[in-house]
Amino acid sequence: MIDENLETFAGKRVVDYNPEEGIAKPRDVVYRVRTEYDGPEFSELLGTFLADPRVVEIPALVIGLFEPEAAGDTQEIVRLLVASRDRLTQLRALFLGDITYEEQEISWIQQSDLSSLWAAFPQLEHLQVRGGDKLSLGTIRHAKLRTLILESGGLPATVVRQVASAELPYLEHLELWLGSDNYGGDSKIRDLAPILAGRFPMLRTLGLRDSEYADQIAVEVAASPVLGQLEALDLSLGTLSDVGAAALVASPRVARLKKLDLHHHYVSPELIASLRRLGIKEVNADDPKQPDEDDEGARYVAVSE
Amino acid sequence: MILLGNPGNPGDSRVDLFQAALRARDLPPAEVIAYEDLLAGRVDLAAVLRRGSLLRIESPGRNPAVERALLARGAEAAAEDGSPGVDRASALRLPVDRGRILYPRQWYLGFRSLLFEILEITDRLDGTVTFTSHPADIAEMFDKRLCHSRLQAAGVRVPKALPAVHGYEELRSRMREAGLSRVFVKLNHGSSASGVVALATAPGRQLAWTTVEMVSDPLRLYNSRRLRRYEAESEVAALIDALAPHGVHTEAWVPKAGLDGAVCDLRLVTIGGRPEQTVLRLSRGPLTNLHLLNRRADPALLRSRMTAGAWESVLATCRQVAAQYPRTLHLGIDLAVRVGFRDHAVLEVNAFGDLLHGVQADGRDTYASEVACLTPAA
Repeated sequence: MIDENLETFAGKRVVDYNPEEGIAKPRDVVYRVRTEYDGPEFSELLGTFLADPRVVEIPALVIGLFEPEAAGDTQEIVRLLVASRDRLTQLRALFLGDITYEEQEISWIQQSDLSSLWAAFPQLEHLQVRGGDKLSLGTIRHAKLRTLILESGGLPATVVRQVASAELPYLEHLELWLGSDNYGGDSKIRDLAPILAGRFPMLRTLGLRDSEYADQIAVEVAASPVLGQLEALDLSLGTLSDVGAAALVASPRVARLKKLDLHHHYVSPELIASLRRLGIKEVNADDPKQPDEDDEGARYVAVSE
Repeated sequence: MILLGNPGNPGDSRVDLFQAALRARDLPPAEVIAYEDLLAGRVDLAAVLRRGSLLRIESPGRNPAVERALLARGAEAAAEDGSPGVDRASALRLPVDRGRILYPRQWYLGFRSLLFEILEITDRLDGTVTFTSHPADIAEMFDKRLCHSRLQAAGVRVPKALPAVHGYEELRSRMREAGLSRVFVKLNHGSSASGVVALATAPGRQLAWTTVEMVSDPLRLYNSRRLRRYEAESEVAALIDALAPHGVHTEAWVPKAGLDGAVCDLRLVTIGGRPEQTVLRLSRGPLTNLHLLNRRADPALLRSRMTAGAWESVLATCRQVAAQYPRTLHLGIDLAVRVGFRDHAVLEVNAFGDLLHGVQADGRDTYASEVACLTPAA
């Protein structure tokens, strides 16, 4: 569950765009454009924002709740952004979907084909998307992107494969919330193979989060070439158990990580203790879970709905 | 002072805490009447009150004997208005079934009848008896729909409400008519998070969050400690159809602001019309008023995210709510600050919402503040 709207983004405080105030501090804050129930029509609001003369200065943009009735997708937003590409030349960071579950369930956020963003924003360094429904990234080829974060309750295998075959020579931070098969997260371990083989030469942080096959991921990552280049590995929010944790403990390269995040897991205290003894500077093993007694030992990812 | 409550009730410290607050101010202890004795006719309330006194009515909650007696008392009225229930004799024999949602409407009718009997007794005593919480106010606060409509009429910021519905189909069509896609459905007479459902809808889909557990054959409802998610329309419909006959209050789901990796709301206790002790409740789910699942935090955390004006208007709203109940010393107001930290809405007003362990304002807990307010000269 996503509880909280962004407080900061791209290193700056996030404030809600208010058309009456306009874009007053484009370099000091990051604007979030969003509507609410009984609020203004989103595309009009975004249109007003994009027509503001100072929009040319913004380095980052957050798109919040855009469709309170969960009846439409982000296609029109993408179209408006791309149409304003000549005014958004400073845009380095974009978040599509800063929406908490109090506003809308993550699985109800409808994304769209975002592939036109790649050519329209060649200076983009950070792209973050929440919601996997209807999401497509097309053929990804981008010379500047450093951070790609796809948050979802179920990331389609097609999207995972698009990422795994992307040309992103400067990608440093990749985070995929793989999610639940019940919510369209139908990827398999083999879809991740190119990433684990080290496709992204600059990659330092890899998050394969919220996965129902976290154990398989841990086993594969522990033996993978990519581990040698990583500083941080994030397998949090998923169903990691002793199977995956044992593979991590046994891998000599895991010990060289600076950060290992496993929070929300099903690993026994003994194996967590073994992981902590590896000497990794920062290990987050918070929020241990017990298999659900009501449901024949079922384990759950943190974010799906 | 007379105190009607559940003395010696396991896990219920309300009576002891209030007595301690009296003692701390060098006041004599209140004379305690047990609900159980009053309901069984073992106490003559008129005789006790004849001397003229201040009566404090405490929560009757969480005492199986009292619950059975209140259900028995409400049996006829429940049968008359067609609410689900049991007859008087069966009510008195009900086994303890922890967490079960039995007959909340019948319970309410029993409690209300007791409150109004107390009022009749005191009326006959010609104003020599005063209350810390007026019985009519308590009764109203145990009727969410009534309480909501009073606040709305007074211009208090409350979520938009729907008229009473009797089942799932009717709920969905009322929601469509009102243009509400996300609502809270609450038992009209439920206390705290009992029988609460957060329901999100979109064309062709629905999702209900609730702590209500459905147990089949025959269908029984339990309040559980675990947040559940029902998505199949058949399940959501079964849940709403099972709750609705007991009377439900439906209002817009106010998107609550998030803080510190959680969603938050506030419990503000007003005493003598002023907001005093305040708790920020953080939860990992849409139901913020669950004592067991959630954590507490310093309200300053929330205040720091709001403008001074936005926070002041929260306090003004609390004063406005309290002004609707001038005969009642303390109220427990549940209030949500909306996403964006600018606006807010009152979610609920609790007659017995002053039990907040370890929460102080100006060095006083709620009970100390109440006693101080009752004895300003001391």
